[in-house]
Amino acid sequence: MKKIVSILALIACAIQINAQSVTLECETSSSPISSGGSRDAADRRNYDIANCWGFGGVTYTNISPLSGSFSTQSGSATNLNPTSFWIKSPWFKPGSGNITLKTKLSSSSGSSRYLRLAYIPYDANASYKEGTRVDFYTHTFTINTSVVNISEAIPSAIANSGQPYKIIALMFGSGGSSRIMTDSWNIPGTYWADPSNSCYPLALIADADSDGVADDDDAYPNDATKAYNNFFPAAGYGTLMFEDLWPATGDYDFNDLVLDYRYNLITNADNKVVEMDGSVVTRAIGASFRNGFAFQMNGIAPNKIVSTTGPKYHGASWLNNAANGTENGQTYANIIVFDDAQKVLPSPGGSGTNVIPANGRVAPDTTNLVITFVTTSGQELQLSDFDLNPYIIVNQIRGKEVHLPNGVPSTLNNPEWFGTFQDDSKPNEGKYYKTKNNLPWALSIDSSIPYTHTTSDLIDAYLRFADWAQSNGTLYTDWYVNNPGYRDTNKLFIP
Amino acid sequence: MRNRKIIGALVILVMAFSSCLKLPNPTEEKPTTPVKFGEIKTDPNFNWTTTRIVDIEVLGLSTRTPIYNTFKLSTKDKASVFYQGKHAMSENIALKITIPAVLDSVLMEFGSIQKTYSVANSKVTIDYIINYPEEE
Repeated sequence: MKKIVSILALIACAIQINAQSVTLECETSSSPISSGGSRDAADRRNYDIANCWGFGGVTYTNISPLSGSFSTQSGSATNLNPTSFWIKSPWFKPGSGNITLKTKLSSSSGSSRYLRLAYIPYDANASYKEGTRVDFYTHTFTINTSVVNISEAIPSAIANSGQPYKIIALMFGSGGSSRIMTDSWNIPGTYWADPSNSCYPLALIADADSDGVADDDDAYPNDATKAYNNFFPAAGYGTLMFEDLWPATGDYDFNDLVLDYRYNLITNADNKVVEMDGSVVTRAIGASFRNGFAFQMNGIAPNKIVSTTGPKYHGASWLNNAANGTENGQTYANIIVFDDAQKVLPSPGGSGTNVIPANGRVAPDTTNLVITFVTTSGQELQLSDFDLNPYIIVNQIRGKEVHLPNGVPSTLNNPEWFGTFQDDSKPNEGKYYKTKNNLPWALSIDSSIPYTHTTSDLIDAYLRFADWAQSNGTLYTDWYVNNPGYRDTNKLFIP
Repeated sequence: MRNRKIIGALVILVMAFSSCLKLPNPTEEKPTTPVKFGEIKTDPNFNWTTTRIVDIEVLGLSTRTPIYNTFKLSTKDKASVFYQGKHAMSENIALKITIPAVLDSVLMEFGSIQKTYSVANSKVTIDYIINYPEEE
């Protein structure tokens, strides 16, 4: 049965301790660095608006404030229409006692000036949920600049009613130019507005699993252990493309292994990562090597993983996993997604798979992973802990890994390959899997893109890639998008 | 005297012709477009990725009661969400989000509060304050 659970109990508890009155002091700035002058006044007004106070034709001023450094001031109150200038409190549940505030005129100019107090009941069907205003007090100013301390009882009709109300101060008058200033508001009652919900009254939220995340925001509304999906890429799939002749350079067709990927880091209501769902789509193999595919979770110890399901293994002799699915002997958690691409995506005949159109096409293969993480208090992982580092294991040689440029190798990588052939990795400088000219053996694109026919140079297919790379990523950042003039589709394998 | 005239004439000729010489202008030099991948030249710090990381600093807003809601960062059309989590409105939050390098702005949502921020720089400071005009 779907429960309607409230966060109000928690909130009300806090309110009883902290907030038995609603106040307006005009002193708190919304800006961490106050600039001074009128901007400073505007920052304070904006802060109070963010906390659900409302102002009609009323600004803040630091000229002759009633208390502290700033007060409110109306425009010149020369109109007897009472709604010309107003200050409206947030929604609150009235207590008992007196509403107090300080007020004065900015000058002795004018024929008449008034400050009227009224309350506004909640009306679910009305604009802004505000019902019909009820006036209950009017102060008539003597035309001078003396400070007046107003103290008026909350009307018995609303005191301790348990219902939400607003208090509104209306400022009006005739003649002259003086403004009406106020400060140091104190309204007995319980603050009952939600600044994150258009300042409407705090309300029950539908939260079926009682995890504190509203069902509307909860991707798992009936599972208290999960709340949010965090996908990467945020939309669609990304593409990984590898050259596998490392440490020698190859033909730069970047199709020796082509994969699409997307993963979802699922967090709970405390923003801790409880599960990772990954999808790896093996699209093409433009090589004869029997390569494996894996990823390292940089910085995450293997014992942070509880279980792993979904990898595809075909009896590789070097496979050596722990019970939780991570590879043994590693400093950080490494997940072998599959041990042999040739078994995952067998060739239909001829050379390679899905790289020569004449050879026919094999449907891409999807490997779905589910990895669960520790949820012990103090041991949990956060989104910021995740830095995934994909790589291939070349031709069943476990120590021969090829990562994205500067991808840190796993503990089981054999460092003796570094610096041989065209590789210019320099572990002591943090340089990995790049040539002397900083060219990579693998690329990651955050969109799913077509890959090249076998032996077609990548820059012959993606016509803006070279401009992008040579500009160090400042030009043609969208080189992979299918814009006019960006691709030579004759060089791309497009089913 | 005659030699002086000859030398003077030569100097004038050299100056005149040298002013016509086209000297190489460093600002006009453009990198040669490579015809093969292996000819590409990049800066050692170039990371070859189509994404970039942006540091997000959220300045919490002190509230009279604890207000919790879902804080979300997405594209302006909300089609791609880069971060979402439950936070108190008063909480200062530090995040790193990975976004497509082509993206120039992100949308922040906290309940009903929505603001758009440029991500042209690698660090963005976000708050919940709406700047209202001071009408009178």
